[in-house]
Parts: sequence; C-alpha cells; structure tokens
Amino acid sequence: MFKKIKNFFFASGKTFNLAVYNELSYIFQSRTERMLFFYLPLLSLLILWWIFFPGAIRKIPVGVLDYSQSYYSRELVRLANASPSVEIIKYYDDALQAQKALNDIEIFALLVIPDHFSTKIKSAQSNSVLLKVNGQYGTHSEIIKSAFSDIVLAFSTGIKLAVIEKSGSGANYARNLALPLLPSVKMDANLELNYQKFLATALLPSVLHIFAAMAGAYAFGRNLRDKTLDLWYFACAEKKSLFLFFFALSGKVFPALVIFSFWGVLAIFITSSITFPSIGNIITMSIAIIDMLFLSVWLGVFLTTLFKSLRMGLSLSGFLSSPAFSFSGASFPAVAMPAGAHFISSCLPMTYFIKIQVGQLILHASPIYAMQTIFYFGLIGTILSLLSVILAYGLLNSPKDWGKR
Amino acid sequence: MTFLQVFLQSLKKAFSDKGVFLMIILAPIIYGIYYPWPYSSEIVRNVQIGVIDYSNSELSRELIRSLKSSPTLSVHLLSDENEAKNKIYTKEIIGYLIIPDDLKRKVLFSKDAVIDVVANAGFLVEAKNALSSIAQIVLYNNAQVNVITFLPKTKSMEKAKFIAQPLSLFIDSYNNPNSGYASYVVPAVAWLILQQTFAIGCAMLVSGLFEEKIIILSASAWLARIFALSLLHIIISMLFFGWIFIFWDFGRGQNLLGTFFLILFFSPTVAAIGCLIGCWLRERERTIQALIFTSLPIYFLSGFSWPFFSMPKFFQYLSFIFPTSHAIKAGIAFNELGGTIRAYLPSIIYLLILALLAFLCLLIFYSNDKKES
Repeated sequence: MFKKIKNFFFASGKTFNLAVYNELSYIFQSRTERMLFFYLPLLSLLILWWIFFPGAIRKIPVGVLDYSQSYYSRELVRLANASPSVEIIKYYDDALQAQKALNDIEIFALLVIPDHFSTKIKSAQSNSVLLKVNGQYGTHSEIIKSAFSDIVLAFSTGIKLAVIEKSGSGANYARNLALPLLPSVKMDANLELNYQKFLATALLPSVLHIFAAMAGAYAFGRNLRDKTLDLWYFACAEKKSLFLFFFALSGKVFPALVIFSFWGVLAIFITSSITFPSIGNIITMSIAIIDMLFLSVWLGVFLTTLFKSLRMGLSLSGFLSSPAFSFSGASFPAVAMPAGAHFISSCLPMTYFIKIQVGQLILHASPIYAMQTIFYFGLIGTILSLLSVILAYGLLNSPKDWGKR
Repeated sequence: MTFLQVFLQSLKKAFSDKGVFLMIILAPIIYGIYYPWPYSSEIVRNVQIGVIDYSNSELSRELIRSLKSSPTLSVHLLSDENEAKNKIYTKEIIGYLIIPDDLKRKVLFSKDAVIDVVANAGFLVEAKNALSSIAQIVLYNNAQVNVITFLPKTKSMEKAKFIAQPLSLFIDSYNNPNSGYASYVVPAVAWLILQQTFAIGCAMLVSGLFEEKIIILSASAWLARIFALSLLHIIISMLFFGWIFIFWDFGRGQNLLGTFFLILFFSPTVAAIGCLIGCWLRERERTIQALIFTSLPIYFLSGFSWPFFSMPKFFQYLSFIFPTSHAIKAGIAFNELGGTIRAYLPSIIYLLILALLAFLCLLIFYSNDKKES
C-alpha cells in the first residue's frame, strides 16, 4: 500500500516536472512565445505606467471671447490664467471664429464674457459668464469645468468680501459671512487626484489578466489544434489516467502562471512605489494578483476545452478579459450601470480585484478586507482547473474533436 | 492569379473562413453593442455617500435634505467615522461628510463652520462626481444663508441675491449636453474596435493563406487583398457610425463627407498593417493572442483620454505608428463636432504615410511573385 502511494506520488511528480520542462522548452524556443511572455508584458507595463507619469493634466488650451473688455473681465481672465489646469491660449473677436476653433479642437473650451459684465457688477446685479466646453473630450471637459467653477467661486468671493467690507465689517468677519459653510475636502489617499494612482494602477492588472487568459488558452489549445494532444501527454506520462492528466495539464500551465505572476508582483511593486502601502498590504496584494492570474490562466484553458477549439478559446478569453476594465467600475461607477451590465460587472474577477487593490494599495486598509476576495479567486480558479482537467481528459480520448480551426 | 482573382479570393475567404468572418464582420457589431452597454446610462447616478450628523440641527437636516434630493447621490446616515471608514474599505460608500455638533451656533455667530468631506479618490471618477455634487449643494446652502443674512441689511432681495452670488457660471457642454460618459468615450473607442477587429481579421486571413500554402506574394496580389478587405471594412465602418450610433443615440453626422473620407484612408491603412502582422506571425490563432492585449495601451496612446501634451515625449512619437491616434482625433472632429477636412488633413496624410509604409514593407519582405512552397 505504502509502495503504491509512493509510486503514485513519484509518477505524478515526474509527470508534472516533465510537463513543466516541455512547456518551458517550447516557450524559450518560440520567438512568438518569448515575445508574448516577456517582451510585450514588459512593454505594456512600461507604457501604461509612464503615459500617466505626470499624474495630472495641466494647461488645457482654452480661448476667451471678451465682449466686456473691462477691468473686471480682465481680472476674471487673470484668475483663469493663474489656474494650473487651464491656459488661455487665444482671445477671439467674433463668435464664428471661436466656434470654428472649438470644432477643430484648437481649444477645448471658450469663456464668453458678456458686454454688460462690468456694469452689472458695479450696479450690484447678479451676473453670469458662459463656458462653452467640448463635452466630447470628457477628461478634458471635466477638468476645465472644475477649474472654472473654482475660478468663478474665487472671483465671486472676492466681490462678496469687498461689498461686505465696504459695509463696515472686519476682514475675518466678512469672510465668515461670505462663506458660512466651509467644505473641507479630504481625500482618503490620492490627495492630489493623481491619474497615475487611479488609472495606471487599475490598468496594469487588467492587461496582465488579458495576457494570462490568452496564454492559458494557447498552452492547451495549440496541441488540440495541431492534433498532438496524445504526443504531448505521452511525452510526460506513461499511462492514461485522469490523476496523471491533472498533473500533466497543471504542469503545462504552470510556466505561464509563474511568468505572469512575476509580472503581476512587479506591477504591485510599481504601484506601491507611489502609494506607499505597508508590507502587509504589499504581501496581500501580491498573493491576490497571483490568485487572480491563476484564475485567468485556467479560465483560458476552460474556455478552450469547453468549445474544443483554440480559436474559440482565444476569442472568448479576449471577449471576456479585454472589456473587463470597462465593466470593473474603475472608469465608470458600477452603481450607475444598467442592471444587466452591473450583473456582468459583478461576475468578472477584475471588478473585485480593483476593489481590493484600491483598498490595500491606495487606502492602506487592513489585509482582512481582501481575504474574502482572495479566497473566492482561489476557489473559482480551483473549480475551473478541475473542470478543465475533466473536459481536457475527455478531449484526449476523443481524437475526432482535434484539429478544429 | 490576376488582380481580380485575388480580389475575389479574398472576399470569398472573408465570408467562408469562420474566424475571419467573425473578426471582420461580426465582432465590430457585437462590440458595438456590448462595449457601450455599461456606460449606456450616461450620467453617474446613485453614488453612495455617508453623512455623520453630530449637529442634529435644523440646518444640518436641511443640508441632508438637499443632499438626498440630488440625483447623483444616494445618502446613508452613519453613526460615526469608524462605520464610515469600514464602508469605504468595502466600497459600500465612496465618501462621507462630517457635520460638526456646533454647526448652527457657528453659522449664527458667523464663525468658520467647517464640514469635513472625505472621499475615496482611488475611484477618481466616482469620487469627483460625489464631490462636485456635494460642493454644489453646500454652495447653494451658503447662498441661502447669505440671502437670509443680508436681506435685513440691504432691504432689497436683488442686492441680497447679488451678495450671495455675484457671479454664476453657465456651462454649455456642446455636443454632449449631459456630459454623458458613453457619448464621450464610445465615439473614440469605436475607431479602436474597428481597428483591432479588422487588423486581427486581416492577419488571420493572411496567416491562413500561408498555412494553406496558397498565398500569392506579388505587389498586385497585396493590393487586391488590401482593396477587397478594405471594401468590407468601409461598409462595416459606415454601418458602425450609422446604425450603431443611431441605436445608442450618440452624436453623429456633423460632417458626413469628412467621416467617409477618413474611413477611405483608415481602412486600407489597417488592412496593410494587419496583412503585415499576418505575414510575420503566420499562425491564424496567434493573431488574436498577439493583438487583443494591445487595445488598452493603444487606446491610451491615442491622446484622447490622456492628452498628448501631458504624455512623455517618447510616447507622443510612439503614438504616431498607430492608425487610431490619427483616426480618433479626426473622426471625433468630423462625426461629432463638424470639424473641417482642411483642419484635419495632416491626420489623413499621416494615415496615408502609414499605409504606404506598411505596403512597402509587404513589397520588400513578403513579395516575390512566386507561390510560396
């Protein structure tokens, strides 16, 4: 009995090792595999990280159409120019010329100051200015709107203070009268509203999720496509057995898991370099990303075995993983999505991964908050791996299903 | 094989090869419906925020009432900061307000009545929406308090209103009046979807021809292949910017001629690049694997979501090699804003240069006027 168990462990270990060795040999011999496992992930991480390196968008070009040409209008423009987010690049004389500049995206917004601007202020009448903003460029327009809201608020407060002080109130008292409720905004981390912290940190795992799912699909699918399932299996196992097949298939996807885990942990370290979490947070997220990539790799294998085709496995892995970022709630809040899309969002692993990543790496929450997600990633990954093994073993015994394009 | 024969062979392949058909014809339509779906509500609503009301005064209740009336916010009353922090960590709320216990007294005696607002900027879009709504509501409440304070002094409602708000800002977010997220992001991503699916389809078709060993590698054959595939793509692109945009009711058709003109250059450029990738990979399924992951980096390099002028110089140059970097800019100007062809001629010339370079590479590296053995 003991000998039997020993032999079983020896055979399964040997099968696993041979499968790992054969897969690694293939990866290192193939130019495309090397590109997909090493060069492109590195390049993607670098691109996605460094694009957002400046952190904030500054000096968005804006135009001014000043019909007033008064002291007050110039004061408002001066305040606008002092804002780091926008830059007044051109003054226009007529509306048509300004509209053309907006349409041709020479400027992203136009501040229109009416001709009665100064007169109304002097005669203590409520006044307004118009900001025409190109809503088609959402990131730019949101920054411009926020900047001009602040500029107009600062301008208004200045006038308020002057009027109240004129009535004989002290400067401090006047300020309190002008702004009775003072909102004091405190960002819970990412104080400077840094896009690198918010966007790049979510994009890095998203792109690795795509890579890993594809790699899983290709690792098994290529033997299915090339009708070499039996050759592959008997190169690492001596006899047909579901248990040995489990070790053979696990060995086949193991290199992909290890290599992408390396990139995943690197992504966590890169993110941590600007968010400064604790060692506990870093370790938790390193485990989480390995867990998520484990799930991704097996998702690719599962889809390939389910549809018995490499092409379908890759297409579906891509279909599920590439829009995962859009459905994750990082760019558009999940609560605002329609019910169906919200349901899909709640089925995709990236949604949960980004939630715990923000908690751990940006908010520095206790690792306990990530445990449930890590557990479910592991559980679902294990279920997918077991289902894949059963389906793939069925394919090994069904040569008529091999070679589908 | 003559030009016409290769042209017809390519069209036949595009319809008979399931993989190529899926990528060139079906995938743009599927993605056109699937991708905008999460954003289809356009406006961010029901952002969950917490309020800790230590004041329990009439003024604080008025403030909470105003917050609750905002369609952007969904307000939860919380007992203390610990509860609020827990809810932020589990993302049950995106932020919270702390109303101090002496709020009413401070307002009455014109002292600083500070309301702390805490937000989770790890989800920046959601946090910004919440903060902007909170700020508007607090400003509105300020204006109301101002009017009540100054009315007895000025004895004129108009003057009191002037002191409360001397200057207001009207925002005309033209072409996207509600600042809808889908209306902003999808017209740009549409070009990316059309590029990626078409490039994969072209690469898959060429790889398939290599695998079947029936590829003709001559200048006229490459031209015929590019023309045939581009013809299909031009039709699909017009369908995309027509019917799919009508389906989702996105802004469209401001300069139809400009959009059509751009597609005429965009499709052959992507076809030539796709053929080049297919020649290099020579394995049908590899094309999916090699091209799908590139979507995210290419989108962010296009300068749409993250402006060119905020990118490091190297990436500004790198972005020029992707057709989308030129097509998104010109496409949005034509289709959404009514920009002129003249203003976007440089984008079209860049596309032409890319097409010529890719075609030249095909001629230099993959053209021998012989059937490959």
